[in-house]
Amino acid sequence: MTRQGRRLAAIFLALAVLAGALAACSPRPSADTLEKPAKDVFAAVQAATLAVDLRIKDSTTAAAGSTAADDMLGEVESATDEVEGFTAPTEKEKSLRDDMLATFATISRALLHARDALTAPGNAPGKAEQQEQGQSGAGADGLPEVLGELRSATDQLKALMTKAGIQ
Amino acid sequence: MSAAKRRTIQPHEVKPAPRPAGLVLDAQLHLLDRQVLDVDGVPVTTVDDLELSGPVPDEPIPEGAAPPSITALLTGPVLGTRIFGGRPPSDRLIRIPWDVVASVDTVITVGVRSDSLDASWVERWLRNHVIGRIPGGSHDPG
Amino acid sequence: MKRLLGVALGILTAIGGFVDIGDLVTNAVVGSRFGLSLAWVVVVGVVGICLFANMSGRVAAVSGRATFEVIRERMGPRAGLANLGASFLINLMTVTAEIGGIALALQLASGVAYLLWVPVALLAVWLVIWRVKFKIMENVTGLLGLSLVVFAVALFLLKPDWGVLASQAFTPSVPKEEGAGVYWYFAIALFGAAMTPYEVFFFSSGAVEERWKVKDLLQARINVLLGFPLGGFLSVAIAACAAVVLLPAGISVTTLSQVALPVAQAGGQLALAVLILGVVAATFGAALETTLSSGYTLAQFFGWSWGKFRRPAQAARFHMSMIVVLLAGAAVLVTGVDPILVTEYSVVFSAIALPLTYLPILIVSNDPQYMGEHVNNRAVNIAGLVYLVIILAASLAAIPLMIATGAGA
Repeated sequence: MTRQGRRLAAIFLALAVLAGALAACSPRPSADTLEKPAKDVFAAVQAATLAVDLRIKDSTTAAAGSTAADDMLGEVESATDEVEGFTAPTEKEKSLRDDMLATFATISRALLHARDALTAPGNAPGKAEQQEQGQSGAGADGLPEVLGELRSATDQLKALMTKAGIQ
Repeated sequence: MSAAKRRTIQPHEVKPAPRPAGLVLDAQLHLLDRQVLDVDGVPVTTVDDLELSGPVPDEPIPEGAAPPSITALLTGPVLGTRIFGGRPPSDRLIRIPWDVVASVDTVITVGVRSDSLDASWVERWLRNHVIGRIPGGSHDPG
Repeated sequence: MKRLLGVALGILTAIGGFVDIGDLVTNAVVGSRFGLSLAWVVVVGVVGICLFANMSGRVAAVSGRATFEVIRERMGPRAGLANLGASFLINLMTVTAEIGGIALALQLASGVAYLLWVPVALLAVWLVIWRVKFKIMENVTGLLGLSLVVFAVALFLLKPDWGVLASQAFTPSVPKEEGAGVYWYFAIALFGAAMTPYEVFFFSSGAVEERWKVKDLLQARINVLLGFPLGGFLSVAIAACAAVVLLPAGISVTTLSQVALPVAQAGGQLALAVLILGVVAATFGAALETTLSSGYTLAQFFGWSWGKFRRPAQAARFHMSMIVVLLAGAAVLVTGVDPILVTEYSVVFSAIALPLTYLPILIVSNDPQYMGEHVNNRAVNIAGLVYLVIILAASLAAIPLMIATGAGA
């Protein structure tokens, strides 16, 4: 092996070791490490809430609204993946992580409902049923319920963020 | 060139270069990396390197030998070896003979059509086998 | 009259052509996280691109030579090749981002997943490059791109507190939720988005395509000096919309669908439709420009015949390279990588590579061999040197900031 080749191999080895070391010490749940995923999910649920709200006011289209909800679902999924990767050796850390994941799951569910309700065009099945019940929600059906679900999920996240000490 | 082979030349022995007649071209400045256009003004290639006649490298130059002259503009893989070092085998050189060069300005013009030159073989191959076969490929943009 | 019409058309297309996916995304992200506290960067960037585009347009009109021919002639093959490599990769990234942008906008319009729109966008971009005249291509996408004025209209309809926006813009400070490093990282991203190097390749090659002469320079200068600042104004309006609606709600922009929310809130479905049209036109126009730019840079470095004024068969290598670039861009998107993420990186890498294109232009526009009596005057050179310092600083700071802030996370 030439000197240059040897140096190159050494550099690669160092990089590999570094990458391995970085991968091995995954973060532990704390106010600091949870801040970013929690805020990402908060932003996602807020955006979906706005989209549903706009759809109820007939300010946005079914396509744009459902695209927003779908995008936000993706955001929550990646935040969930991030938090699931955390190692939680102590009981306290474990419960914090699990609480966070449970909230994310609630939000995911709300977002799924939002997406389905947004995807339904104005005359989707269910409208007749709703009209029978005498509801006069503008836009697609079930949207007011979804809005309520999103809001309560947001409150749950807010409460958890305060408890965990995330600003 | 090894130093042992070289005869020491004293400064007073060096005669000034004879003043050449006509325009002086600096190979580096006026030829290398210049655009080559054909007789119709169609770009052919860029001058990637030059081929010179005359003394073989590493051989002593006999007294009174004719000065080297440009025999061809080179293009193709020679660009790689000019940048990274080495020398491509001479059968891989794509040559534009100096005889066809018509004028040297900010661009170099040759007096023949691009299609008659070896330097345009990739262009011709792609035209005949790919681009020309896609519908609309040989029409003016509409 | 015809001349006046030409001037107006030129200005309008310059406005519509200024905004691309990079400007759109970066301004919305910045607006949703920093309000208008980075609006000054857009101003710095717009002045820079005016200066830069003017110089490269003048070089092309006077010498009849496009940027990359000159770069190789002046810098030699080694530095030229390094420059080509960097510029080409960034171009490829930008092509990818723009095609992704078209697809995302079409998803917003249809609700059909953007990945299914990628082949459609790819084919449409290629067909225009293959068949449509340069002038028509430029004017149509530029004029339709003007629909993005909807951001400015939306801003008025939102009835924001103008005092707050003005104080954010004129007394900029780092918001307390964000670190100084992130602030400066996004400052560089915004600068790179405004001063994208492909604009320069495109501008100078376009001047050759349209056979500009010295007498056309006045009109070109008017187009640039009015069109780009108005395009910059649009950029600030995008940021302001995000600052008014998304920032207070805690929504930091990560998707195109979020960018549309303030516009829908302000102007309803009609505004949304205009917005989508504008985004499709702007990203489509930019996809054309970046694809052509990658063909231009390769062809000019290697001396191939190039140009949309030729039949494709008469510029076979040029057209082949653009087909390969488009396919490569689409292949990157098909892996499922987030186009918005590609965009965010592409603007930062643009900022990193800026000196590579900027410096040769500055040198050549001072070279009487190419420029004759049209070399830079003293005022342009002073401004040029000031910008050289800014560009170098942004370029050198970008990678350390990217690592330190985790790419602005």
